[in-house]
Amino acid sequence: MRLNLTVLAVSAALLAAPAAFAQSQADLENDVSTPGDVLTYGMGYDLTRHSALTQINKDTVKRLVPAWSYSLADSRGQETFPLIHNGVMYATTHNATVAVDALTGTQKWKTAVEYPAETPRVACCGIVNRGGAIKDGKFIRTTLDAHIVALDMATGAELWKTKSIDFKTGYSFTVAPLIVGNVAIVGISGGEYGIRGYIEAYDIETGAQVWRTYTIPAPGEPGSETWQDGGDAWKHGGAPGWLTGSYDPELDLVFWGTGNAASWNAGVRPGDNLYTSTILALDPKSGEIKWHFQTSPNDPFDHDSTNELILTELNGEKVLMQASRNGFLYVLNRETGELVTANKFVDQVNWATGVDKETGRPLVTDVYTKAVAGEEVTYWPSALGGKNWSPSSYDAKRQLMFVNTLNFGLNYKAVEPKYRPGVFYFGAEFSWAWPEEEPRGYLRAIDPMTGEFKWQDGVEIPRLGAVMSTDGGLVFTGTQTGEFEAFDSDTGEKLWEYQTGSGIVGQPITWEADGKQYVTIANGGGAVYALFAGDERLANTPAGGNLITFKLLD
Amino acid sequence: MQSRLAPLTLVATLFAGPSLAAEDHPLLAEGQTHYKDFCAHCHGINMVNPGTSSYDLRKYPVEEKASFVDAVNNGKGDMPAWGDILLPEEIDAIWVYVATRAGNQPFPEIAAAAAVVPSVPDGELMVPVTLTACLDVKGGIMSTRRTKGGAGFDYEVLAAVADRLDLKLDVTWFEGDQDEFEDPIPQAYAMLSMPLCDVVAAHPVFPGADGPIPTDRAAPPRWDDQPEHWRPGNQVDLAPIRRTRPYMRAVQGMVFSDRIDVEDIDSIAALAELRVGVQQGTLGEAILRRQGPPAAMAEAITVAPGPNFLWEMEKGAFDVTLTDTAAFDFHRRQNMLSKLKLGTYRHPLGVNIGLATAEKNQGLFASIDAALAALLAEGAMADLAKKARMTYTPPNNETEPNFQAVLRAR
Repeated sequence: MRLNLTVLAVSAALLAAPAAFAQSQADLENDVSTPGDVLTYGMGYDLTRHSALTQINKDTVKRLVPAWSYSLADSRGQETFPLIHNGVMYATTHNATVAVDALTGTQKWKTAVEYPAETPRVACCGIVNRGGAIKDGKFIRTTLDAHIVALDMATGAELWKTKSIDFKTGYSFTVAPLIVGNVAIVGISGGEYGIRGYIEAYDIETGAQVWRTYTIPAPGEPGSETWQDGGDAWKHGGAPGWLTGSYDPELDLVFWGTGNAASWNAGVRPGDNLYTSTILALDPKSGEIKWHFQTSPNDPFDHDSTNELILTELNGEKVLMQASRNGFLYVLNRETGELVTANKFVDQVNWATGVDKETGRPLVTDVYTKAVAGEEVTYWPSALGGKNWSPSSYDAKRQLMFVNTLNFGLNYKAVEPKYRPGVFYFGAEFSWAWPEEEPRGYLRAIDPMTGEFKWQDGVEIPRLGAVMSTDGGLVFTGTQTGEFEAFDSDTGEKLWEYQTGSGIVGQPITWEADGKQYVTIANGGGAVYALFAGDERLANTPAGGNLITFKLLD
Repeated sequence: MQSRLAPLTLVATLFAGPSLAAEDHPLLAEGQTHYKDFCAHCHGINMVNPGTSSYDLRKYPVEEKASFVDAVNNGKGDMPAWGDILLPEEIDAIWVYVATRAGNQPFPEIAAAAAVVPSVPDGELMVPVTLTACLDVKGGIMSTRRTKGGAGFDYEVLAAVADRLDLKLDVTWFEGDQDEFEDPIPQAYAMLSMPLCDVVAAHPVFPGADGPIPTDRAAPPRWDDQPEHWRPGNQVDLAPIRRTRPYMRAVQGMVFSDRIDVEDIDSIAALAELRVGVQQGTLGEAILRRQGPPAAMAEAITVAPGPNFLWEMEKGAFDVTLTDTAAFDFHRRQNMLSKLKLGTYRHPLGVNIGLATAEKNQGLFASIDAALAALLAEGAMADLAKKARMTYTPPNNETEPNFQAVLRAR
C-alpha cells in the first residue's frame, strides 16, 4: 500500500495549528511547574507569584538589563498581568488588548476596546485593567463598561462579547477573569457607587452566563438576617469582587474575596452585612457558597476583603492566606473556612486590638464604635488598607510572604449617605492622616503565622504594584517613581534597580525560553494612590505605559 | 493605639475644610460638595494632584469659565462628559470651587464674568437664524399671544435669550392644560421630539421631568398651524430632553382683601380667625389643609379651580388665601381695579423653572443655558418680570422640590 505523503503532511499542519493553542485545564493547573509559559493570573491557581527559576539570582541579578520595551500607548495606570503562551505575550490596558512576540517585543496584533466616553465616571480608583485569562485559543478579558470579551489568540479577532450589566448605575470591571473548566469567573467593581455586588461565570465557548452569585443576599435568603436596617440598604450594599480569586483543583473550590459595604456609613445598615468584606469559597460549577469568613463585619472603613487569597500548606494543613485591607493577615483552613490564625501585619491598627481566635471576629476598639456612631475619628490603616490591591508573593521554602504594606490612616466622619445612581456613595467625610516621620509604605517579608516581619524596606511614596519572588532568592517589585527593583529574599538588601521612566503599579512575571530566564513588568503610573492621595512628589514622574522585558547580559 | 494627641487636633481643622468665611462666595460650600462627589477621584482631594495622569485644576485659567463649563458638559481628552448628570447650576458651583482653588483664594472678579455665550451650531435649529419656542397660549402672566408676537414673562425671557444669540424669536403657540388628565411633562417631550420647536418654556425642575424618556410615545397638545389631518391624541416617538438652569421660581404667596385690617400676614398660623378661601386641587389648598389653623380651615370656603377663584374673593366670598403669585399677577392684570393685595409671605415650597431642549442638540442647549446664565448674572430677570408685570422670585439652589419635608414641618 502506497501512502499519500502530501495528504499526511497537510493533515499534520492542520492539526498543529490548533494544537498550538490547546491549553487545557491540566495546563492551567500545572502552570507553576511550566516556566516556559505564564498561563494564569498570579503565576498559578494558588496565586503565589513565586517561580522556581534560578538563572537570575542573588549573584547574577546585577547583570539584568532590558531586552526590549513595547509602548502601550496609554497614559492611564497600568496594572496588567501579562500572560505568555507559545512565545507570545498577551497584555491588556483599559482600551486595548495586545499580543507581542515575547522574545522581541514586536507587536503581533492589537485589538481596541471600545466603551462609551462616560464610562470612566464609574471607575472610582483608576481607569485600569488587570489582565486576561486564556484557554483553548481564547483570550478572555473584562471591560470598564461591564462587558466580558473573548478574542481569538491567533488574530485578536473578537469571538464574543457579553454585557454583564448596565454600567451607568456604577458597575464596572477591572478584574482579570479566572478560568476553571469551561467557565471564566469574574467579579464586579463599584463598591463606592452603591452597587449590589456579584461574582459570576461565563461559558468560554459561547459567552453565555452560567451562574451569578450575588454577594449580598436578597431578603429571605440566607445571610439576609445580617441586614437589620429593615429597609433597602442591601440593594446598594456594595460587596464587589474586583480582584481575581484562587482555585484549588483538588477541593474543586474557588476562593474569592468581596469588597467593602456601601455606603461607608455603617450606622445606617446595622448587622454584620453579609457578604461584605468576606472571603468566600465557591463551587466553580454552580457559584454556590460553600463557606464564608467575614473579616470586617458591619465595616465603616472601606476595608475590603478583596486582597489576594494565596493557597499553600502550613504545618501540613491546606490553608489560604490574606493580608487584608483591615491590617490583619488571616490564615484559614481552606477546606472548612475555619480560622487558623490572624495577626496584625502593619504597625498601626487602631480600630481593633486583634482577632478572636474562636469566632474570627475583630476585637474592636472605641475607634470603631465611635466611627459607627458618627463621631470624628482617625483610623489606621486607612481606607486604602494596610495593603491595597497590590498582590503579594509567597515563598513556601522560606515561609515568607512578600507584601507591599501601607502606613497611613484616615481622618473620618460618617455622614448621611445620599444615593444618586452612578455617583459616589461614600456617606463619609474624610482626609488623609499621613505618618509624621515614617515612610508611607514598606515592602515586608512576613511570616504568615505570626504577622511579624523578617525584613522591611521603607519607601516615602508607597509601592502599589505587585510583588514576585523566585527560587533565585530574589523579590521583585517596583515604585511609583518608576524604579523596578530586586531584593534579596533573605536579607531585604536591594540588589538591583532600573528606572523604567514611568511609575510602576503593575505585576511582574518571570519565564524562560531557550534556556534563558526573562522578567517582564508593565510600567505606567496612575491609579488609586496617584489620583487620590494628592502626592505632589509624583509630579516629575511622567505618565505612559510600556511592557518591559529584562534578561541577563550575556 | 492612639498615641499622639497632635493629629487629633489636626483632625478638626481638616474636617472643616477650606475656610468658608462670611465673605466667601455663597456657592463655595455647594461647589465643594459636588467636587468631592464628581471630581475628587481624578483631580485629587482638595484639588491637590501631581498632574501626571489627570489635569491639575489649580492651574485652570480663572478667566476661562466658558471652556471649563464646556469641558465638564462635553468631556475633554481623557475626561468623560458629565452634562447628562450635572445640572448647569451645579457646574456653576464647582466653578466657584475651582476658581477659588478649593476655597483657598478669594473668588477672582474675572471668574465671575458672565460666560461667553457660544453661538448655536449650524443645523441644530428648526429654522435657520430663528429660535422657535413653544409657549402656552393660555399661560396667563407667563405667556399670552398678541396679534403680533406675544407677552408675558416667558415670552420676554425667550426674546432676551434669542436676542443674546442673535436669533429671531418665533413662537409655536400651544394650548396647554386642556383637561386635568393632560400631563405637561410628556407633552414637552412630544413637542421637542417632533419637533414643534427648539425650546419649551416653563419647564419644572422636578425628578423625571427631563433626561431619559418617561414613556415611548406621547401626544403633543393642540398647537397653532396644526395640520388638518392631525387628530388630537396622535402620539409621537419621544426622545430624551434636557433642562437648562432655572431662571425663576414658582411660589405660593398670601393674598388678602382690603376688608381685613392688616398690613401684612407673615405666617400661615396667623390665618386663625380669618375667612380663608381655598382653590380646589391646587398646591395652595394642599398646603393650607395641612398647615393652616384647623379651626379656620374647618370654616374655609372652597372654590372650584379657575380664574374665577380670585374674582370670588374680590366679591367678598373670603378674605385671605394662599395662591400662585403668578395667578395673582394675572388677576391683577385682567382686573385693573382689583382691591386684592399680595403680601410678602412666601411658602418655602416652590418649584424652580427652566427651559427644555432636545438632548441631541447639545450646542443649542449650551448656547441657551449660557444666555440664561448671562441674563441671571446681569440681574436682567427682574426687569423682564417688571415688563411682564409679574412678581419675580429668583430660583434657589434646590435640585428638586422637597414636598415631603416642607409639608411635614408645620
